[in-house]
Amino acid sequence: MTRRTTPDRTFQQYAALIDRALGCIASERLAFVHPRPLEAGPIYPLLLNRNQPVALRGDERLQFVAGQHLRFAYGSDLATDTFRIELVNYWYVLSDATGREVLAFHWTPEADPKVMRTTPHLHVGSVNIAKDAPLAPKTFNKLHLPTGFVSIVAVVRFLIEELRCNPGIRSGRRFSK
Amino acid sequence: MAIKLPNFLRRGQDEDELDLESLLDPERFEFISIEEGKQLLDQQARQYLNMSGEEFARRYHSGEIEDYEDSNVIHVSMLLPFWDYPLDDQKNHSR
Repeated sequence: MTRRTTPDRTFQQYAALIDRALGCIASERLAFVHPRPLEAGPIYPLLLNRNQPVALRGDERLQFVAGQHLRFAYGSDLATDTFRIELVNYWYVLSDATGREVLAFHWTPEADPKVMRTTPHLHVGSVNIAKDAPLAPKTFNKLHLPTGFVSIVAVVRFLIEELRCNPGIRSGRRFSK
Repeated sequence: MAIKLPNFLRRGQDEDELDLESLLDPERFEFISIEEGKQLLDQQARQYLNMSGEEFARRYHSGEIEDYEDSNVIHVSMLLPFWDYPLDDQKNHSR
């Protein structure tokens, strides 16, 4: 017998993984819009801390924003009783304590290509670019550095291993924008 | 002594019929309505872009945003699905 799945259960499994990763660096909750019923087709935002920055604890005073857009799709053309999740967009943004963008990982594959880059990329914030940098110091922050797909797990690992954000410590600090 | 069952077991539901509130830890997840999502869009559009959520949605979709790659524009635009939902919020919360 084929086990019937539901969008709710599919989301539960996916969200538990995302929470497991983000829970390493942030105590704030994940917010999910909850129209009934969840169904294949619409885009559903999944937002850390309602898309507001969370303060990271570590050597640097950093803020982090993370969100994804999800869509439920049928498991296959023939199996309409199973669902999978498609990641439609993601945005993972690291800022300093005053809200100045430091790094931003973006992927918006379904955006209008006339106005937005649709391939996964990284922005380096102007605050992190030397004024005498040899390459376009005034506009380097607008460049889209190609990255390939970046998972939230990879970002969290980067924050912990490279930027020394303390894992497993719930942060109560919040910085104003 | 009575055994205290988790809420979702007390309801006697088949696990396939469980809803998200039963499946996910409320200390880690919150579920917001489309109406709350629209308020979130409005609040962050005002905070980051000095305009209402409605104005932002209109300008965004009509091509009136000067720089779609501006970090604040991208930040707020990720809340646009709340505005764009074709679903009727009342209907969706009547179950």
